[in-house]
Amino acid sequence: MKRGIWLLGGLAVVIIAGMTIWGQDRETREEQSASMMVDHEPVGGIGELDPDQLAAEQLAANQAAWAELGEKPYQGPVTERPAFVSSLEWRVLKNVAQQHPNTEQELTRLVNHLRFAKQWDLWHEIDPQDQTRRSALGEQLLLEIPDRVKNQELDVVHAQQMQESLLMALIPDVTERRQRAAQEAARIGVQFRVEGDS
Amino acid sequence: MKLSYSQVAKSCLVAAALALPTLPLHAAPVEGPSGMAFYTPPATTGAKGDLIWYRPATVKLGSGAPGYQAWNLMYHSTDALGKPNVVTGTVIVPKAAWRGLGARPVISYAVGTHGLNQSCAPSLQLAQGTDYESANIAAALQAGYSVLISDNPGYTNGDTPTYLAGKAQGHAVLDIIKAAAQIPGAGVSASAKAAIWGYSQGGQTASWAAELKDSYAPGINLVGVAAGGTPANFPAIAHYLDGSTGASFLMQAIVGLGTQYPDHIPVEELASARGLAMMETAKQQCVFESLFDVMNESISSYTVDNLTLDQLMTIPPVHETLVEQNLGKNRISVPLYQYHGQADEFIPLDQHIALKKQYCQKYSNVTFDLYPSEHIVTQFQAAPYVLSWLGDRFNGRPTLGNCVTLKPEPKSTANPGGGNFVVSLKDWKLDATIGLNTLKQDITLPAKSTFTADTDMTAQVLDGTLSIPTFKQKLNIVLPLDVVITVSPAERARGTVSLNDQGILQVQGTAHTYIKVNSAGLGLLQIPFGCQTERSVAFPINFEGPVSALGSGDLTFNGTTSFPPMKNCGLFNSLFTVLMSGAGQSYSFNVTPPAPTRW
Repeated sequence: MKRGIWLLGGLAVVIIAGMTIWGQDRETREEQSASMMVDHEPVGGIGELDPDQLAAEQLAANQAAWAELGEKPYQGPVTERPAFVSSLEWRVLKNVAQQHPNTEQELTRLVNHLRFAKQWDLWHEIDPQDQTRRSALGEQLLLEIPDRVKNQELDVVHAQQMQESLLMALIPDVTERRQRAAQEAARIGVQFRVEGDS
Repeated sequence: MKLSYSQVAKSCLVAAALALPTLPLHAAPVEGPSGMAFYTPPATTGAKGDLIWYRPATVKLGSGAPGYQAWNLMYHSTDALGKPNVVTGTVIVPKAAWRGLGARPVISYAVGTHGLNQSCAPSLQLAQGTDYESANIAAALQAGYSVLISDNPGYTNGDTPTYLAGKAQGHAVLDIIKAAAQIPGAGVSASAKAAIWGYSQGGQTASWAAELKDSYAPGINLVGVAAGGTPANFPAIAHYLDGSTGASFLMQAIVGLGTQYPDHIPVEELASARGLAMMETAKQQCVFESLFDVMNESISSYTVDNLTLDQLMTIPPVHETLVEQNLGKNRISVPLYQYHGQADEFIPLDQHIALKKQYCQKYSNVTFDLYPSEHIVTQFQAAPYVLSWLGDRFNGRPTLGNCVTLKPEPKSTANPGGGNFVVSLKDWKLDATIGLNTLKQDITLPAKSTFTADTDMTAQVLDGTLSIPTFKQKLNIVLPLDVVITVSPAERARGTVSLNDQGILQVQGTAHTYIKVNSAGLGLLQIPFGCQTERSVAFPINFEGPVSALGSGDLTFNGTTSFPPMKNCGLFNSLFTVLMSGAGQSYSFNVTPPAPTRW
C-alpha cells in the first residue's frame, strides 16, 4: 500500500517533469548508447510514457545499481546516461550541474554520488541470506565512503556511522571488526586506537 | 587618630590641588594633555558649560558606525548640591556633511551604568572599543547627528562617581551641549536642535535634564528627550534591587550617593567591615563584573548590625536623599519618549508607568512604548524606534503623545529576582535562510518562524526551541517545483551562554531540526512525499559579540553544516539524497525581539 502511494507520487513528479522536458532536449536522449548506458530512450520521449512505464523505468534504474558492483566510480566526464540513472534523474542532474562553474566535473560527482546513494538504499533492501552480493556491495560501499567524505557528500560522523553499520553486518568477529573499523576510520581521517594494539 | 571621611577627602583635595596644572582663570579652551593627564582638572574657574580643554580622540565603535571625528573634552558643570564641578566626555561628529535643514542636530547621549572605576568611564571605554553602548552611539551617528557623551561626574583623576545623583547627571548632559560647541573645528553649533537620549541610569539622567532644562540651561535648543528603563522612584527601586539580580546597582548607588551626600549617607558609619570591603571592590569594577559579583546580595549583609533596607530607610537623611532623587516633580517642556521593557528585571516597570502619569498630570507631552523583553535587550532594541521618534522632533513634526490611553496598565513579566540571571527570549522573530549546497538555492524560513529560549547567564546554560510553520518553497530542480517543506525541531536547542566582564556575549550551542519534504508538485497537483533527512540536522548556534546584539538585531548565528542522507522518499530517495544531503550547507539564523507596543 505504502509502496503504491510512493509509486503514484513518483509518477506524478515524472509526468510533470516530462511535460516540460519533452521537446526541449530530444537530441540528448538520442545520444544514449554504450554497454553500461541505456540502450535507447523510450519511444516518443518521457512525456508520452504512461505512469506505469515511468515508474518501471525508475525502478529499473534503481535496480541497475546492482550492475555497478565491482565498477569504479566515474573519473572523467559522463557524457551518456548510465543505466542506473533514470531519464528524469539524468535530466535533473544535468540541470543541477549546469549551475556549477565546472559543469562536467559536477555532473560526474553527482552521478557517482547517485550511484553510491542507490547502492546504500540497496544495502538496506538486500536479503541477508544473499551473502555473496551482500558482501560485495558492502565492500564497495566501504571502498567509496572516503570519496564521498572527500567530496563533502558525507560528513565524517555520518561516514563513520555508515562504516560501523556495514562492518557490523560484514564481519562477525569482534576483534577483527574493530581492527577493520580502525583501518576504515583512518581512511576518512579519524584515528582511534583499538584496545590491545601496541 | 582616626580621620573622618570628610577630613580624608579634604586632605586629598589639598594634595591634589598642589599637583594640579594651572590655567589662567576663565581661560579660552586649549588642547588638553595626552594620556591620563587629561583627566586631572587644571586650576581654573568658569561658568557651567564652559569648555576647559579638549583633544582629538580615537573612538572605536565597531563596524556599524559611519566615518566620524571625535574629541575628548573637559567642561564645567554643577553637582547635585549646586556646587561647581568638572566633567569629562566625548564628542563624536559624523564626517559626512549634514544634508538636513539648519545646523546638524545634536544628541546628548546619557549613558547607562558603566561602573565606578575610572577605567569604566565612557570616554576611556570608547577609546578602547569596549563601550557596551557603542551600538546605540553608532546608530545615532548613522542617522547623521553629532553625539555628545558625558562621562558623568566623578571620573576625573582621584575622584569617585556620584552615581545616580540625578541632578548632577542632568546638569552634565545639558552642559556638554554648550561645551561641545566650543571645540574648535568640531562643527557643533550651540544653536543646533538638541535632544537627550538615555537608558537606565541614562534614562534617569535624561529625565532629570528634561526637568531641569528650563531653569538650568534655558539657552539650549532642546526639541525632545528619550528616556528608557528609567529609575524614577528610588525607594521603590531600592526595594526591587535589594537581594535581587540587580543588587549591584543598589550597592553602587550607595557609593555614588554617599559620595555626593556624605553628610546624609554616612557610608562609613553604616557599612560593616564586609560592606566597606565590598564598596572598595565596587570602586575597582565596571558594570558587568560588579553585576555578577554581588548578584542577589542583600544590603543587610553589608551593614552594621545587619541593618535592613527598611531600617536604613527610617534614617531621615537617608530617606530624604533617596526621595530627592525621585523624578516627576516638574513639567517637561519638550516632547518626551519613555520606554521600558515589560520583563525588566533591574528597573521595575510600574514606577516608570507612574512617572508617565505624573508627567501627564503636569501636561507634559509624553509618548510611552512598552518593549517585550528585559532590561539589556530593551536598551538596544529601542534604538531605531528612539531615533525615528527623535528624527521626527528634529524635523519639526508635531506629536500629541499618548497620555490618554484606554489600554489596561501593563504588568511586569520579569523573571523573579533572587535567582539566576536569566534573559528570556520569548517568541523572538527568526529570520533564517538555508543555502542548499548542491542545488545552489536558498530555503527561506517563513516569516512566522520564532525562537524561544532562556539564556541563563548565571548557570551559563542556553535552552530553547525553534518554531517553524510548514511552508512552501520553490526549488528549481527540473522545473520550478512548489515543494512543501517542514523544518521541525528534533530536540531542544541547547548550549552554553555567558556574559563576560567586558559585556561580551558568548553563545555556543546547537539546534537540531529535521528537514522534511512533505509534498512536491505544481500548483494544485501536490504529491504527498514525506521524505526527510535520515537524522536531524545539527545547526551550530555560535555567537560572540557585544551584548547589545541581543536587542540591536545583530544576533545572528551562521555557518555551514552537513545534511544527512534522505529517507522515505520512495523511488526518488537516492535522487533527493544527492540533491539535499552533504556538507557545506550554509545557514543564517537571525533572531530579534518582538516589536514594542504603545501604552
